[in-house]
Amino acid sequence: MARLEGGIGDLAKDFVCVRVIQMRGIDTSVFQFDYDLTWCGFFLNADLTVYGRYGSRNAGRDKSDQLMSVDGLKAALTKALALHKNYPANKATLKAKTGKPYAQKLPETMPAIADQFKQDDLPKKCIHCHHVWRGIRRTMMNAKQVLPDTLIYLYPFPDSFGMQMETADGTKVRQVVKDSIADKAGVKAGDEVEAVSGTPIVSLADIQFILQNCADNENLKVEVARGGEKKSLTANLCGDWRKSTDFTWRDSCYDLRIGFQSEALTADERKQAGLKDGGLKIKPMYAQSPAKKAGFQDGDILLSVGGQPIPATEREFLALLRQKFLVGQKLKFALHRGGKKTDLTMDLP
Amino acid sequence: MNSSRVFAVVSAAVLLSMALSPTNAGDPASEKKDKVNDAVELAAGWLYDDLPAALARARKENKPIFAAFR
Repeated sequence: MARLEGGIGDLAKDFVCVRVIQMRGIDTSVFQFDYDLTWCGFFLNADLTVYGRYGSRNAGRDKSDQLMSVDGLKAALTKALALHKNYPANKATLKAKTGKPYAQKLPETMPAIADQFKQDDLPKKCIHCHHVWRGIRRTMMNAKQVLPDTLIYLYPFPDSFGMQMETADGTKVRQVVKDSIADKAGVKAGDEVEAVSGTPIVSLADIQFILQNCADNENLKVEVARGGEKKSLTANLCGDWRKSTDFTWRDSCYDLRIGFQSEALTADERKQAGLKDGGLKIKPMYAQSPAKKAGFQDGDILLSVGGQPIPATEREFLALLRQKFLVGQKLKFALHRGGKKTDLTMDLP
Repeated sequence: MNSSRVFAVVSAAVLLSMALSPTNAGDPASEKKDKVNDAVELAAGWLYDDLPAALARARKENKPIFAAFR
């Protein structure tokens, strides 16, 4: 992220700027953002009212900043500054910019990672942003709780209901997918999204935050500016829009896996394994992992787990593992290896 | 130039020279860029890993806070 290039300096002068290098001591009831980002800008008032956030990511390490730009950051800073100038008159509209608190506010007190980070031995014991997702989710999993969709399909994009945004200003609609929920709501390319559900928007990340926290069937009020006019539209969310969000690129996804990554089968592989649909191939296997110890190998084709057929994508498979089964449960896997079917059993880590 | 101004300029120079000095052969380019950004941010008056200080300054100057997490 070329955050200091391109002249954000003039805008930054109107803010008190602080660089935060790790999450120890950070109150996650205030600082809620996508913790798998490599960089996040967070804008707030001194009374902890949140103005907005900047930073979005949808791919692995080598493309981690493809959704970010200096222009996008400038646009977000400008909008955040405008919100500050209208503050506190607009305070009520900013309420939904702060989400519900997690069970523990401070990352270092989250039971699943508290031991790992109990020593204040910087920098070796830095709590990275992505550790927060581990703290939240692993704590729930260890407590034999099923992860909700909102903690698996993290920070959905508006693409999930057909609204694709510009990188240079994440509040501007680049394209609307024909016949999508956004299309049916009347959103048009070129629209500038000013508010969603009454909450002013400064960036794509702000829209993602609203989607992260809304119901699956919410009727989203989308306020847009179009050709000098204001329009109020309603996007009726329905179906599996949230589940279209890929999360398998995330560092925090390591904790959902059982010791390997997996990829979709080719048509030939599916045929050889005797599958009509679904199934995944292990690639790669992690060294020293629970799955490796249980006997899984690179290239194994997964057919079923606990009597449930293996779906066709890794994200569906991980959701299946974490929503149908509990940590410690003995799981029987059917798999296809070297032309033969075989079974393996392991406890869900 | 008063003493605090001298200190700020010298600090910035030291930080920049640290950031621009040759790094280990194994250091990725991104790490070097981060060091440069660290130095430039500090020289430009950014607070370093001190949210309470940012909150106090924002309250005093009636400015919003821009917290960059990385």
